[in-house]
Amino acid sequence: MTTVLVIEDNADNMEIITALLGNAGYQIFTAMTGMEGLEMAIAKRPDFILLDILMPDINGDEVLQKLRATEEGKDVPVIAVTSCAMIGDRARLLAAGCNGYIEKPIDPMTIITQIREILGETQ
Amino acid sequence: MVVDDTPDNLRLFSDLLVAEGYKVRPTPDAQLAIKSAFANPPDLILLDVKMPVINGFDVCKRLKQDERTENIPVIFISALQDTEDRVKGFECGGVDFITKPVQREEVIARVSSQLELFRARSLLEQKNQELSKANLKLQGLDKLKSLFIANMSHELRTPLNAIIGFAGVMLQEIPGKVNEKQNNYLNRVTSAGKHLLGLINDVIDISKIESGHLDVNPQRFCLKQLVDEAIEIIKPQANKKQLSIEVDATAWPEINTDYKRLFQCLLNYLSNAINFTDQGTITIIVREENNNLKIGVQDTGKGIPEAGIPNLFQAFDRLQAFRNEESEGSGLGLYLTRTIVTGILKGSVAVESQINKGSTFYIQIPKDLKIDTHIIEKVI
Repeated sequence: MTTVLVIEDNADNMEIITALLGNAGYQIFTAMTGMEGLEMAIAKRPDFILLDILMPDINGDEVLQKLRATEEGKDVPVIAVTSCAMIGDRARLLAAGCNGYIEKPIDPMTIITQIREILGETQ
Repeated sequence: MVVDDTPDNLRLFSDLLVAEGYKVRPTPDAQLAIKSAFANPPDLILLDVKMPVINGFDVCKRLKQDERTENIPVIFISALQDTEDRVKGFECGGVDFITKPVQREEVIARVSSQLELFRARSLLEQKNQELSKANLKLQGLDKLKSLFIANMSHELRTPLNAIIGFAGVMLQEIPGKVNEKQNNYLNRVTSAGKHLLGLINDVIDISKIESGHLDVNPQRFCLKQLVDEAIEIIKPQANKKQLSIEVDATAWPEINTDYKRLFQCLLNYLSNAINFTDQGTITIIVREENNNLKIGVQDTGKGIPEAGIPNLFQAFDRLQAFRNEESEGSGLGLYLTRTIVTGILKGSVAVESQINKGSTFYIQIPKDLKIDTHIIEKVI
């Protein structure tokens, strides 16, 4: 079973994403803060990570940077989930080592397809 | 203040002005005059040119160098008819000359006109200062307003995540079976949520442009790529209404402009055209005109009455309601398009329309977008 770690500080979003991923057959780990997410990523070694970019403790950019610096996290595919759909964001995230990104608000009807497309491209 | 070292002249001027109702300070000595002017600045100074120790020109220079007296109008009294002397007087900062022997009427006229001029100038300066202060305050407030809207709109999007997200989860029957009516309602929640999202996104863009917070990113690309991408995205919407999309291009120039923003504008025109057309064809027209590029979106819809055209690019134009009661538009689309085209792409928008035949919306932009600064001019 494919495992995914969802790092997301908003409880509503977390529940929506886990419901959709669970329905699609993924096994899910969750982390509500950036720090917790980083620890989980190293401990659980998920197949991929959904990473919220705007978080209060350490933001997604920093999580990604720290993760890429570890042996366990340097190769895991990371999909950024971001509502700051500004020009330049995408380039910045990809340069920082993201494999792709999904725009918020997520579209519940297409998010699974979007994830599969991004993961397909990286494999 | 009257300054003259000759007692007879001093008396003459004083009497003359007192008779006219002026308060006069007769001063027989240049040094004393400077001190007295600094201590208690008068409204106007009549200053004799030829005086011992310090002459009138030097007194005037001293007065013009001090901020207490720099603005007081100085009229020179001189026996000299010499033009060179007059030039020197004006160079020192004098405003007028009275030549001896003096004419009573002339003195009165010159004094009163200079006083009036001075008062008018002071008033004008004061008003100018007030105006520029008020203007600065308004500019600040306007920026604050746009920033506030941008931030507020961002906050408005967060609850929409939950609304669209949970409705979607239920629609997919993840928590349990949904009956037909529930399915219908959930679909309506979703489309209302998406409509609101579109509206908020438009408001964010507009306020960013107006507060100068939107970056311009010109890049070189072939127009065909942009048009093809727009068609691909809009195709499902057109198919739903069985409308065909055609392209009428005389050239496919390579251009240098903001891809994302031009794409957004074209998509908006296309989406509008489909919304307001029930049957027929949507045609994308591309024309090259010297250094400019003209892109048109032509529809075979019901057209726009002439009276409505001037307001079409305004925010929340009610005419859209007339054009189609089931319009999906936010009411901000054309306004946003115009704001982007004029504010960012440095071009213009236009529309042609015939009732029951259709409309054509145009974007005209320079093929090579030059940005000299990062500051975007405020539009409107």
